[in-house]
Amino acid sequence: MPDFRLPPLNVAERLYRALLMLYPPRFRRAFALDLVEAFRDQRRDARAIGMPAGAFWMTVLRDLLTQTCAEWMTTVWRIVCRTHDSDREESPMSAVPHALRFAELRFAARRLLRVPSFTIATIVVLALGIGATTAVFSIVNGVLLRPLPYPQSDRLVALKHTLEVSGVKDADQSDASLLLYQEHARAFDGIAGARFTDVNLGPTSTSDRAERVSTAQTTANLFDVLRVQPMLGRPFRAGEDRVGAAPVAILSYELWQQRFHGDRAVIGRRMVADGVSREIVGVMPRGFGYPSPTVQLWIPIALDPPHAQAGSFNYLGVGRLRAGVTLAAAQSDLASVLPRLLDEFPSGIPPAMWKQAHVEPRVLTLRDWLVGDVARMLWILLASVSLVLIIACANVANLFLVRGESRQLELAVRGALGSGLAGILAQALSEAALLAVAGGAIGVMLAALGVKLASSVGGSLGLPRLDEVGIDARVLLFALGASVFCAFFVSIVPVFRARRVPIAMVLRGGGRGTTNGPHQRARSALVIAQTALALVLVAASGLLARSFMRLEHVKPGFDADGVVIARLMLPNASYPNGVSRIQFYDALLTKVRAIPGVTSASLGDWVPLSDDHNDTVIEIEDHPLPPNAVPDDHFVAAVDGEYFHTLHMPLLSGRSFGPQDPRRASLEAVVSRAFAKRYWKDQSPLGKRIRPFHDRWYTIVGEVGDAHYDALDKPANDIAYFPMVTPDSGSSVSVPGYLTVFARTSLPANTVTAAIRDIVHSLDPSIPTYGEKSMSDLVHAASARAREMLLLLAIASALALVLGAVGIYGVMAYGVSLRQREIGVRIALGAQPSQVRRMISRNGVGLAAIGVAIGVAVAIAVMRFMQSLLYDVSPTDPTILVGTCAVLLLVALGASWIPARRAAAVDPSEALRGG
Amino acid sequence: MPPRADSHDFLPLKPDAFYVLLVLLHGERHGYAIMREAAEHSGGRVELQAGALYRLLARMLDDALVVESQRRPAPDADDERRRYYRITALGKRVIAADAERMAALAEAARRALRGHAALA
Repeated sequence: MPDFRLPPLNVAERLYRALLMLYPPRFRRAFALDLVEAFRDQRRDARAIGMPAGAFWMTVLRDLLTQTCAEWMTTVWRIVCRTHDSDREESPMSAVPHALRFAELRFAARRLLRVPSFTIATIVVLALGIGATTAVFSIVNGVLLRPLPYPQSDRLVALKHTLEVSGVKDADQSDASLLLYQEHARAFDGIAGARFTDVNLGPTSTSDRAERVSTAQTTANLFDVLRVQPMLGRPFRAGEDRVGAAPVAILSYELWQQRFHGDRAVIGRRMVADGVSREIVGVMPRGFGYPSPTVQLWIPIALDPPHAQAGSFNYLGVGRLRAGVTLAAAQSDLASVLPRLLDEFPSGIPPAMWKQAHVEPRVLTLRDWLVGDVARMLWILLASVSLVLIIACANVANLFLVRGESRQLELAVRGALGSGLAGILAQALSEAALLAVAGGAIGVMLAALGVKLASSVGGSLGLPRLDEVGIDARVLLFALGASVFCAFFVSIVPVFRARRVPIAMVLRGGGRGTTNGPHQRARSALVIAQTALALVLVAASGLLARSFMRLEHVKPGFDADGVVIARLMLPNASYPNGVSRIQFYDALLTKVRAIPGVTSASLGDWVPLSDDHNDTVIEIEDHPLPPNAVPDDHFVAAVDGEYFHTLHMPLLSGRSFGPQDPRRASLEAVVSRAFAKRYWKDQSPLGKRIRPFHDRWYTIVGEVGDAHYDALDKPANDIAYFPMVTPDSGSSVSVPGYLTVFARTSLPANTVTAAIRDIVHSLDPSIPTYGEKSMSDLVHAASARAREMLLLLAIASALALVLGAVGIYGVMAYGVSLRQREIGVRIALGAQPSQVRRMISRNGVGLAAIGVAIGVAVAIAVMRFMQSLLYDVSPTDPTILVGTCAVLLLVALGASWIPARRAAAVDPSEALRGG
Repeated sequence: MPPRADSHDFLPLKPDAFYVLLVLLHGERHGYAIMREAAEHSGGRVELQAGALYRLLARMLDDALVVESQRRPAPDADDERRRYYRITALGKRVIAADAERMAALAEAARRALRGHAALA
C-alpha cells in the first residue's frame, strides 16, 4: 500500500507508529496504516471528551502489548503448523496450559538446575529489568494514574483562565469570578476557591511559642465540593465566607495532634491567628490536605461582593462537575457566563483593556492540574526504563538461543521421535515461565527498595503525590504483565530455531561451524539493538550531566555564601499601618546588626531562588503606550538601602536607597542591568521615571547587577526594586507586612537564626520567625531537580550498559565456541594468536559499531523531548554524542576481548578431533 | 487454509466478533467506525481497541466473513485514506445462525424459568 495515504504525522502518531514495529511483519504490513488512522481518530475523540493523556496512553499501550503478544503467538503457530504439514490450526494458546502443567514445570525446573550459571544469569538480568520498570511504574501509578483521594474524584476539575497579557498566559480565579461562577454556572455541582495564606498562630498555652502555620483560606463550600467531612466538629457554614462573619477555623489532624494533643474537647475553643481570635469548629481527617498536603489550617475567605476585584486572580478554583458533563461542556458553560463579569463587578477596569486581554475560562481535571509538567518527565522515565526491560529480554532471549544451540541434538531427536512442536514450545515456555516468575518476584522486591529510595530523595524533584506512591495491586499486575511479556518474548525464539534445523544435519554434526545462518543474524541483531538502546540512555545521562555542570557554574548574581535568612510577617490586626511596622523593623535591624559576627543585615520581600514571587505591570515614562494598551509585566521587589550591600550585588551606577524615613516616603527606584538595557540600551537609566500599575511615578536613582530571582536555568530576570517605605493613597506611608531578614555572617547559620528568633520574640512574642535557612542551601536546591534526574538516568544507563556488555559477551563467547573447529583449522594452518584475537574482537566491535550508528540516529531523533530538562546544552551536543560512542565501543572491545583470548588459546588438535 | 464454508463451524461467535458483524450488517464501515459503533450497539460493553479490532478483522478476512470493500460510500463523505470493510454472504449466514442459536438458548432459559416460577 502506498504511503501517501497518510498526511504528516505528529509526535504522538510517530511514536505510535514506531511502537507498531512490535507486531509481526505480515500483520504490520497489512494494517499499520489503518492502525495509525484509528489511533488518530481515537486520540482526537479522547481529547474531545477531556480524557487525560496518561489514561489514553495506558489504554493504547495495554492494547498494543496484549495484541502484539497474541499476534506473535498466532504467527509462530502458523509457521510451526505449516512446517509440520499440520492441517488443523489450533489456537497457539493451547501451548500455555500444556507448558504450565505441573509435570512440565518440574521437568523445566530440573533442566534449569542442571545449568546453574545460565539460570542465575537469566534471573538476575530479568530481575534488574523487571525491577527497574516496576519501580518507575509504581511512581507513575501513584502520581499519574491513581485517582485523587476524594469521592468521585474524576469529576473534580481545576478552574483557570487563559489570557493574553504580556508575560502572563494563564491565571486563576478572582473573588469576583468565583462569585460569578458560583451564582450562574450550570455545569457544576459546586465551585469553591482557596488560596495559600500562612498565618502567625499565637501561643495556645503558656508553654507554646508563636508559630507560622501553612494555611488555606477557602470559600465555605470547599469541603462540600471535595466531598470530605471533618472527622470532628463541622465544616464551614454558608455565609461564613462573607465579610463580617464570626471568625472560625478548622484544624488539620496533624496540627490538632501537635498543638492540642488530640484533645476532642478542642471544638469551640479559640485561638489567635494573625491577631484575630477564631473559634475552632472542626478537625479534618488524617491525610486530608487541599490545596497542598502541607496545609495545617483552614480559615474562610472574607468575601465582600460589592467590592470584589474582577482582575486579581489570586484564588485557586476547584469545581465538581455535574454527572455526565464533559470538560469541554463545562468550559463553554463558564465562557457563556464570563462576559457578565465586568457588568456585575466593575472593579474600575476599562472594558476595552479587559477585551484586549482575551480572558477565557479553562477547565482541566484536578489531577492534571496537581501533577502539572511532572507528567512529561515521568513518561520519559518510564519509556527509558522500558528500554532497559527490552534490553534485558533481548539478553535472556540471546542466552536461550545459545543454550538452544547446545541442545540442538536433543531437540532434533525429540522432533524426530514425534514430539510435536507444541511440546517444544511448551518446554521453552515452561522454562521461561519459571525464570520470569523468579525474576519478577526478585524484581518486585528491588522495586519496593527503589520506591523507598525514590520517595526519600524524590521530594526535591518536585514530585507531587509522592506520599501516595507504593506497591499496590496495579503495580503487582504490571510486574506480572512484564514477566509474562518476558516469558513470551524469550520462549518464541527457540521455537523459530527448532523449526529450521533439519534432523539429518544435526545428527551428522553439520550444524556446527556455521556462523552465517539466519540464527547468527538474529543474535547479531540483538547485539546491535541493545548497543543502540544503551547508547540512547548513556547519551541522555551524558547530556544531563553536562547540563548539570553548566548549571553549577551559573553565577546567581549575588553572593549566597554566609548569608542567612529568616522570614516574618506582621499581621494587619496588630500592625495596622506603615509607621508601626517600620518602627518594628528598625528595632529589629538594629538588634540583628548588633549580633556579634553579623557584618551586615537588611530587609527585602523577595528571597532570590525561593518560591517568592511578585510582579506588576510597569509604565515607562519615555516609552508611552497606545491608549488602553496594557503595560509589560515586571518582577518587583521591595528592599531597604543596605540590601544590595548585604547580598553583594554590585551597584553599577547611581546609589542605593537612603535610610527609610517613616514620615516621608521616597519616590525612588533602583533597576537591574537587564531592566535598564531593555528600555534604554546603553544609555544610563538614572533620572528616568517608571510607574507601577495605579501608582505614582518613581525616579530611578541606581542600577545594580543582574540576579537570578526565578530560576538558575533561565536568563537573569529584569527587575525593579522599590523602597520599603512607599507613599500610600492618603498622607500615610505603606510598608510591607511580609518581609525577610538577610544577615551576612561568618557564624554558623543556625546560631544566627536562633539569635534572630530570640530578638523577634523579645520584640513581640506573638510574631514567629520561619523559613530560616542559609542562602547557599537555596542555591543548591535550585539545581536539585537536575541532580536527582541525573542520578536516576545514570542508574538506568549504567544498567543498560552492564546488560549490553553482558549481551555482547554472551554472543561473542558463544560464537567462539561454535567456531572452535574453524579457529582450530586456522591455527593449524599457521594463524598467529594475535591474528585470531583481532579477528574475534573486530567481529564484536563491528557489531557494536553498527549499533552505535543506529543509536546515534535514534538519539538525535528522540533527544529533543529532553530539551526542557537541559540548560545551555543542545540536545544533539556533538561532544556528548562522540564521547558516548567512544564509551560504548570501549565496552564492546572489553566484552569481546575475553572470548577473543579464549579463541586464541584454542588447541588445534583438540578442536579438530572433538568437532 | 481454505475458507470453511459451513456457518456452524464458526459458532458460537465471541461477543466482539458478533458486534463487528452486527455493525457491518448496517453497511460498509472503516475500522474506527466499527470500534465506535460496536461500543454503541453493545451499550459500551464491547470496547474494542485498535489492535484487537484489526487482529479480529484479519481473522475474519482469512475466514471470508468480511471482505475489503471496493466500492466507496458517497464521494463527499469518503475519506480517501481509509479502507472500508463489507460483510460477505457467509458472514451474514454466520451471524444469523448465531442469533438463532442465542434466541434458542434464551427461549430455553425463559421456559425453564417459567416452570421454575410456577413451581415456586
